[in-house]
Amino acid sequence: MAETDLTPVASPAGTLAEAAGIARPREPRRWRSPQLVLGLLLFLSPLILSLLARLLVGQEDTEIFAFDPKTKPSADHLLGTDGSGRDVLAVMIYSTAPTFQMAIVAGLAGTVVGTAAGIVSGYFRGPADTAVRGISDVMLGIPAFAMLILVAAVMGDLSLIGLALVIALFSWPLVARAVRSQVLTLREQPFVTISRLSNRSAASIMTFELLPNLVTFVTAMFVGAISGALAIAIGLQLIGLGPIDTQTLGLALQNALSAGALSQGLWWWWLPPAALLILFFLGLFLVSLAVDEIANPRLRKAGRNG
Amino acid sequence: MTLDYALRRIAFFFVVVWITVTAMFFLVHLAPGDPITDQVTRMQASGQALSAGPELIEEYRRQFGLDKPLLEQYVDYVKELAQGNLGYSVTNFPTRVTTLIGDALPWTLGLLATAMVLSWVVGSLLGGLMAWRSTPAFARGLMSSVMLFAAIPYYLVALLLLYVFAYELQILPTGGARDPLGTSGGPFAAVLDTFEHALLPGLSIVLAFTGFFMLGMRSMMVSVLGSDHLLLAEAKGLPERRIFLRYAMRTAILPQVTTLAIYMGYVVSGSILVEVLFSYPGLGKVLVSAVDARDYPVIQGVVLMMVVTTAGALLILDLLYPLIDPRIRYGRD
Amino acid sequence: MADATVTSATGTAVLSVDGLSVSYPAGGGRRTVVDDVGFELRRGEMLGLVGESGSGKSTTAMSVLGLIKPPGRVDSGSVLLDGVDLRALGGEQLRRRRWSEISLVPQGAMSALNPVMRVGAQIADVIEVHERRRASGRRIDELLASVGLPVRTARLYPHELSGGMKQRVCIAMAIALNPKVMVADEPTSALDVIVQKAVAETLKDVQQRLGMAVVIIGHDMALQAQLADRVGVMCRGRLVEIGPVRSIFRSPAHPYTRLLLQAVPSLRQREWYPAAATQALRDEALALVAARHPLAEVGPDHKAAMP
Repeated sequence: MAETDLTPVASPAGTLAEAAGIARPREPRRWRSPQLVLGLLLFLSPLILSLLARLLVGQEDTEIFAFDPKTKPSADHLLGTDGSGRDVLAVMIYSTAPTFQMAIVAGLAGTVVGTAAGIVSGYFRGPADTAVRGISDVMLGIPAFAMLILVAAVMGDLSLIGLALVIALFSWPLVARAVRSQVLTLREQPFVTISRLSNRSAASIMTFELLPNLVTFVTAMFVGAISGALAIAIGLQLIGLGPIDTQTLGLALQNALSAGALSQGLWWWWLPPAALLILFFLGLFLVSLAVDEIANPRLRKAGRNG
Repeated sequence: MTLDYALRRIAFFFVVVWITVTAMFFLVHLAPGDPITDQVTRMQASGQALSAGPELIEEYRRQFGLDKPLLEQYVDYVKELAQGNLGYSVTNFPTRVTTLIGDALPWTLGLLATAMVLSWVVGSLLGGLMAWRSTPAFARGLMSSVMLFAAIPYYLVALLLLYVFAYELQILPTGGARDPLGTSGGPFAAVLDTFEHALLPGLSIVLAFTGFFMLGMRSMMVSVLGSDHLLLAEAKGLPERRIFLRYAMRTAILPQVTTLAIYMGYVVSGSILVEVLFSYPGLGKVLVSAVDARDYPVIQGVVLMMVVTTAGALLILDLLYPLIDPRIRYGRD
Repeated sequence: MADATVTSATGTAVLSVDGLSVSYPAGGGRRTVVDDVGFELRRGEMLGLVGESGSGKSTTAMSVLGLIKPPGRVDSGSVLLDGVDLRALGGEQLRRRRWSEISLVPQGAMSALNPVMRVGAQIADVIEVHERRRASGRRIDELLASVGLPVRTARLYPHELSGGMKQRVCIAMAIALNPKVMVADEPTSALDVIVQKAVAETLKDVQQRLGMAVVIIGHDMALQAQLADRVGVMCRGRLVEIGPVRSIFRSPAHPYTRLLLQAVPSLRQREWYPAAATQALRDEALALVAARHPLAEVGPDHKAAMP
């Protein structure tokens, strides 16, 4: 198989740099960063608020022609009503949790499968490795979004979870590939060698020696996988693919756009779901930046004063 | 050794393409429902075809070779494909898929290649500067805000741009690639018109990918910053700009080339939504119309085209990378 | 050694360092890693700076070159190069003097060369910048030849060279502009023994040929004895003893210097020093260092930080 990781390894910071004080000793990993807190806040608060708001707003407000269509935001309808007479705010309240669920399931499935495959492939090498590398090399050459369009088009009536799993089908090889390269360096570390020499089972070494050392890295991949899955799912929905039986933010946005909300100036119809999605993505982005900095402390310095 | 590596790499490209073709073929043909029946039902529903439903279906099936055993169909399909024949569109029957793709491809490539190269250059430079020690703090802050665009999927950025510039301010066209009524005033006006139409879709891609390339460059730069050869460059009394460009950027930029190649390939499929939002007559638009009509030969053709560009970009990268990074040699495993 | 170097022992200082202190953040406050260090480098001489790792010798070298980076900080002191205080110079003036007047042979030449530039181009860089003219291929080939490298080396990339060759490239680069002072920071410690010797000889050879003044940092007392004219001993950021090589080796004054000399293997004296005695000497030495005595004359041209 072709060797595609051609990324040259940067020369390790040498002693000259240490003497000049560039390479600082590693700081203790800190999980308390303002970025992380802000990111989680942006990401999670809409979910919590939407779940709480379900107590105040009934699902009947999201029924077709519950109200007059296309009314501007008012005291009765804070975000107005859409083209089929649904309360936009109510639709958002009932769309948020399923959207989340889909993204988390897709991210989780891709990360778990990918991590397991990556660890096994990197630790055992041999046929397992060849298989994982072969698959991930092929997948890297295939544009996932285009393939997903075909899959979603063929499998007409996908459920939301089904869509999430199909997306994960395309995301796990990338996780596996990244985890594998981490494991390749980890497995040469003395503490792993010692474990091996002391006759511990491979399963125990992988679970108790390798996995704990991959937690930060895998977390970063997980956050990336969630936001990737969300972007793809909403993209598919905007084209009119994916499930239409569950209310999601992507579906709300697609309804608005396909009904010409933009050209008719019905901003309250398309803007709220779009804005909420942007909020999600920004939150996820901040979280991933924070996790990256925890994984790689040198980034922290560069981001700030330097 | 060199030739061996190149041949293996080229063989791998064809393996990727073959696997995709096969996967697509069986996905489409084993899926519940039959594109022809669908199409005829659709035509009947819209009153295009009248009573002769079953006969029409049979006729179509024969034309598309769907009456043969599946394996034979597959062999035929691959044979045709090898000769560059992607078949016919179901919805616009006499039109070949290759014609549809040929009409759309220049728009997609023109828009995307320009936007990607632009965002790569700007993003790499900004990302490098962002990590650089003597960049003023306010400039860094400004750059961080550009980086935020990397967080948002480009189609949401596109949506906002479309709303603000085309619908609210009405200073740019809402869609299409050219003014449908044509332009008067010679070739210059025509070029300007094309540029105006490409500006918003291009900008949404540039914004999203600039931030993305900045992120990559920033972290590469950070790892280069601690290295000894930068310190020696400073000891050598070289001017700051020379150190930045020839010592820091030059080593940090190499992995960025990989990223560019990978995303150059992906963006062809990734920009589908931008083309849809702006009704830009590229591959993405063709694909989505085909999805709407479940026109499988067209879907297969466009997806294949996208796979070829993605895998092709990676192939070219792998073959050329040893030329740009002296540390990499062919066939090193 | 040649007479020239002996007479230079009384020559004027080309580089004089005074009261140099460098600190790094540690815990809540700052830790001083170079503490009030002062010495003179005379024209044409080779001055060794020795000490254990962490003694502050490399940091001293970096601060002389003005290469201490935040969070490190030079707290005080002056570095006079031919009477001009480098620390008082602005960025542009300092930059012009770097390499043309004071150059560096870095520690770990493995990573100090730009991995994606040809060796010749990296040498040409300093010539172009400081002399404002294109470097001729002949000049670069001559430089490389003068440190014992084949001519084709200029066309190669660093990763195509062995460790010893890379270090020679660094030496060739350091003498390219014929500077007054060259700082060699552990130039041989990353090499294996045979290559070490060859590189050390090259270094000595170019120094004598060009009459350069060289500060050579290292932890290998035996190597220093062969190369240096005078030796300064550092411990815990302080310069504890400085004097001519002979006098330091024959009559070391400071207990820390004696400790370092005991560690030098010798064929004549093959017994081991008892661990307890070594420990006692070590305790005595460290206590004396902690007392921060100023340097005082203990012999001709020979000073030690003792009461």
